[in-house]
Amino acid sequence: MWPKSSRSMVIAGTVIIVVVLALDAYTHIVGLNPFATSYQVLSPPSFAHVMGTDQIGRDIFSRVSFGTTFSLLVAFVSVIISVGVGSVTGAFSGFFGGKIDRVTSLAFDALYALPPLIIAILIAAMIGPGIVNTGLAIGIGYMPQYFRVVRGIILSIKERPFIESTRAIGAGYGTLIFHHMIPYAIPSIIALMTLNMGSGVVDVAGLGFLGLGLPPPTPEWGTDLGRGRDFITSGAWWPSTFPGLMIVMSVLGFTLLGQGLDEVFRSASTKQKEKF
Amino acid sequence: MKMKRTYVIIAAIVVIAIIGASFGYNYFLPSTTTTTPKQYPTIVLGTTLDVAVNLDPGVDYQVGVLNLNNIVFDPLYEVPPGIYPDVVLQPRLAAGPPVVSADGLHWTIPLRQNVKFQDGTPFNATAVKFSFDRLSTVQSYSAWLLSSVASVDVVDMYTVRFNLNYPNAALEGALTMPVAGPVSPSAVQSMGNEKFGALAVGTGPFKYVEWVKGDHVTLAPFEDYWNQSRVPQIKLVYKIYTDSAAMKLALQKGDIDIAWDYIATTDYQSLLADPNLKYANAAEGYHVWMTLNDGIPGSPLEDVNVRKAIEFSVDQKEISDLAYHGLYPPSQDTPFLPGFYPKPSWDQYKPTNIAKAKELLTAAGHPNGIDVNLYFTPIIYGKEIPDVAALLQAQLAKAGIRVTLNAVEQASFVKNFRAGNYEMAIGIMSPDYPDADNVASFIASSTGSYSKRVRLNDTTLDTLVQQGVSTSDPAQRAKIYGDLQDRLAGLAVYVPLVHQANYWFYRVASVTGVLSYYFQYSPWWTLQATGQTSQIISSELQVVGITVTLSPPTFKQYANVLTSTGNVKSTAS
Amino acid sequence: MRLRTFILLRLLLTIPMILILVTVVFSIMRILPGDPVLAVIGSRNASEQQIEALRHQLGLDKPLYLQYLGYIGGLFRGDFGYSMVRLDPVTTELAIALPATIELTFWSMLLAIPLGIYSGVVAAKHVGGKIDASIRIGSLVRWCVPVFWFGLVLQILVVQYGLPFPIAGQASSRMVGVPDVTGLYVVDAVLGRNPQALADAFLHLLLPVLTLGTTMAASITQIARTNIIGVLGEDYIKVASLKGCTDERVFQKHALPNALIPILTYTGLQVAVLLQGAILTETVFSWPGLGRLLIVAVGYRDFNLIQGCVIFFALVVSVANLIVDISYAMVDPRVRL
Repeated sequence: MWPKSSRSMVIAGTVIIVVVLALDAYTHIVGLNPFATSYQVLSPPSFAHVMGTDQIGRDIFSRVSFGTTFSLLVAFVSVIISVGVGSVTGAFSGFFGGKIDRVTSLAFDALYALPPLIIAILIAAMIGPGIVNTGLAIGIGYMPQYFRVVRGIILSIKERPFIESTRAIGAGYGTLIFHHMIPYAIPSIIALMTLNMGSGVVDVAGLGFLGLGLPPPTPEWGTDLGRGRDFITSGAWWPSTFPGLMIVMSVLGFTLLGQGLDEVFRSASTKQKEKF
Repeated sequence: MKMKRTYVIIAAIVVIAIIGASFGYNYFLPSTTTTTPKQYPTIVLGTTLDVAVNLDPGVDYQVGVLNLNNIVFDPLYEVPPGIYPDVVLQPRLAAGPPVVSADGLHWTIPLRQNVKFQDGTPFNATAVKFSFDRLSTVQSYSAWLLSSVASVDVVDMYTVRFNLNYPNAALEGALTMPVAGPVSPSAVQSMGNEKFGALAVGTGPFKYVEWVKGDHVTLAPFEDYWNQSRVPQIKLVYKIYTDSAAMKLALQKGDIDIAWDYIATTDYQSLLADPNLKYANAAEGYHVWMTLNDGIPGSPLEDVNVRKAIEFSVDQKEISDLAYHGLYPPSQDTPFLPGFYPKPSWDQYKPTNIAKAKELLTAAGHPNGIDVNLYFTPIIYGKEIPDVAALLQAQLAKAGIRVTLNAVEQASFVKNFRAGNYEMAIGIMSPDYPDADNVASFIASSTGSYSKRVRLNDTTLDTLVQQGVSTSDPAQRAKIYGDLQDRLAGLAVYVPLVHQANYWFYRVASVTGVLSYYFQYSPWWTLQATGQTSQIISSELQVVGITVTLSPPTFKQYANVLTSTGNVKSTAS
Repeated sequence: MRLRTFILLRLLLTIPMILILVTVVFSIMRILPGDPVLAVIGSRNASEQQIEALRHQLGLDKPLYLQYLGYIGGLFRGDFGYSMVRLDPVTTELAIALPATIELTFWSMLLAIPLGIYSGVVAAKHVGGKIDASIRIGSLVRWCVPVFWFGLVLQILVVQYGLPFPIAGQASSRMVGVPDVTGLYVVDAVLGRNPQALADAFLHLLLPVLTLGTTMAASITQIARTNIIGVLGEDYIKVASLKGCTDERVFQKHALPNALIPILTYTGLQVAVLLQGAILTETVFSWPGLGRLLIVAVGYRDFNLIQGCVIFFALVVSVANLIVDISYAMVDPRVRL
């Protein structure tokens, strides 16, 4: 059914994500406290503290696994926002065409011209930190992608006979777009969303690293590893290393899953095209 | 396949050759000492304090440039070396103390004669007037320091008269700031303000040679400096780093000779253990504290007993130990710094007493504790601030005070803090110029910008501030400011946390004469290359400093190089 | 339509796009709480009147629309305004920081493109095999590593193992005798015939270029591999094989050139990613380029400087996209519609 390599990618991706979430759940179940300070300042990894402690004696393992919640949550918010706004505007713009389409495309092209991180930095500086705020700051930069993809798909199926016939029997624009056309875009959107979860996690960490992320003392991977920078020259490598490893793992999971899904949907749609 | 492989091999050889050659030149050839066109050895001083605007003393107001301009320009007065119970200023470019008119509105100041600017032109009263008038024509971040002065008159070639808008005994202190350092009129007129900002000209012991933006400033001795006991013997390079870790590595490698402000306290450990390094230490710099706003309607902090409960709950020692690794000592129980008539009035809240805090809260009608918001900004006051916030949150929680932490980025924080919108905030307090009134009017008078941050409005304090600035008798001032501190402590709007302590590490093999004064800007004319013989009078080198009791650093795996009592004296070496 | 018309239209379209961008950024800046004056002396004992006076001097109290019109007017004359914190023209600040970023990105791409293409080629040639799998996995994992963390790890390794590489900055402090001609340290060292400075410049470039270069190489590898596999499956390749060309000749003369164009155009579209990566790399290594300038400017609310940096980045990305679109249009006439 599915090509072998994409099957293993999907499986591998899912497994990794499950492991990451399991670690997070473990922290909550066992009741680890990522905020508890102690006088064991900057201790290297040991049995008591598997990943060592940070500069005010907090256990890094607790912070790293607790931080999963925040990173994934913010990434999720950013994806929802970018998908929501980008896809809907893309669908309408592609469907109605004409001047609306040209102006909207221009606006999104302008947005596309800026690297998403810069947009995120400006907006994060403006509205301040917070789960929704940071998610919004990141999400805005990814809207153009969904706009383009959905618009492209809508454009390609706009002229198909079944659309005309559906119009002929009196279907409203809303039903037409949402019920009949957007479903064609869903496979591409889903793969893109999964990949953007990975990008979202990296961007949250990037903002945190630059000092614009979730407010301290929230355990966030980017903020923690950014703070850990100051201790590298004193020989404490663990505050920066472990959060980074978690970032790589999570992103790897989402990327594998996303690319695998992308391949799956691609081969599925080629088969579908052959049917027509 | 073969051809491709050849390309790859060639590319690899080229890359390895480049890296290898780089190594060779840097590490196997003898290192070239910086050749200087003049005969002076070069001392490189590293810092993370960039020149934010430019080198014009009438414009910039950032710590780095203030220190540079202190050695390139001569303010009219200066803080004498050392630390005294009260600060008595001595003349620098002035020839004597100011003569103040009876109504306090006219200050006549005699000027030193036979002084030249670094471009050879003579210094006189016209130059002083010119420098002052100039301030209103440039975009100045420092002119506000002299806002009490309406105009400056030339009485004769070596006498000026400052005409004030209102009587201000603190003006003498303001005149120790580089903004009051006369600039060369001919230099300004020939270069224009913009170019002057790039290479300003004054009368001081050093002169600017070059400024490469964002990288370094080079200064050379001004051989015709009027005070021959302060003529420098070295060329000074002020090298700018953007992060303290890189600067620390540079010090350890020998790329720089002195690591000036700021190395993060966490980096001190390996430096303390390094046998090639020593440090000069001054105890009191700025003060880190928490503010409690008494004027926000509906806030539990409106009740002074609630604020006192908070004072009782804070454990300054834990903050000093954990957030600052014992290197910034816990507060000495007043935000007033030595030289400004300190009185430990806040020791009524010592030792930390959670039971008492709960008692006060219950008596105030909050048996189940309260909910409050603490605001802070993560970077400009030091990287340790978020850690301080986390510690405060945990400490106050023990008394039933539930603190919500709010990290605000810099610009919003400053704006809201100044407007008095923050229920509780972490800030730093540092005086601008050496006069007790600068601190008192800042934090106790209802018009002071710090008082506004806590919405402090107390007529008794206002009267005391007024009295303090109207008299210059030290005994009287001591009494007035003592009463002021007692009252301020009773109002519990400030919770002093820790004092900054400077540690300026330097390489023993390359430089001597590194001094760290409390509050006085760094006297870098005392620096000499190790082994250099010079004729600088060494009286300035035998300064007695203040003792600082430091608790041992808390890194378990690093050797504890402080003595068990941790006593440190500030001396030259 | 004709090629010339197409190019002209695309160029013209860029102008309103940049204008929209400038307006959006301008509005964002003015909505942001705080201003440069507060950022510089807000924490001092300056009174409100004094701060207002300074705002007046900088022209910050003029009505917004006047400030906006003044700024746009200035843009058309090439005047990006004054940096309110540094009190000198924004163009000066940009000019000082630009060479550092150019140097970093240039050497990074010089590493990334050959490395990426070569890995892609090797993988494509062994498609389905172990080598292909390891290259795929390797580039995928590298792609998932955030650029700033990779840089940090390199710094950690250097410190932990005491390797003699510099971990920050563009040059050591004792470089004398290097003329400031281009601002590109490598070029200037060559011009100044100073081998020690040249060596120093390369050593400081090593870690940042490794960081940014391998980051970009990861995505180039994947694209190269995909494209080459695709090309190898084309009919004309089969024809060349049947004609009797050796595998290697087929590859070099037919497959590689055809695959190269889409790979390079894809690389052109990655300029935005490159700039993003440069911002983060510059922060990690304290590299004095435009990325770091932007971060500092945001902290200081230096409106004009922020706007200047953002416009510059947007221009670079737009020009890169423009070049890509034009080259597509030259090759494929259908695109010009």
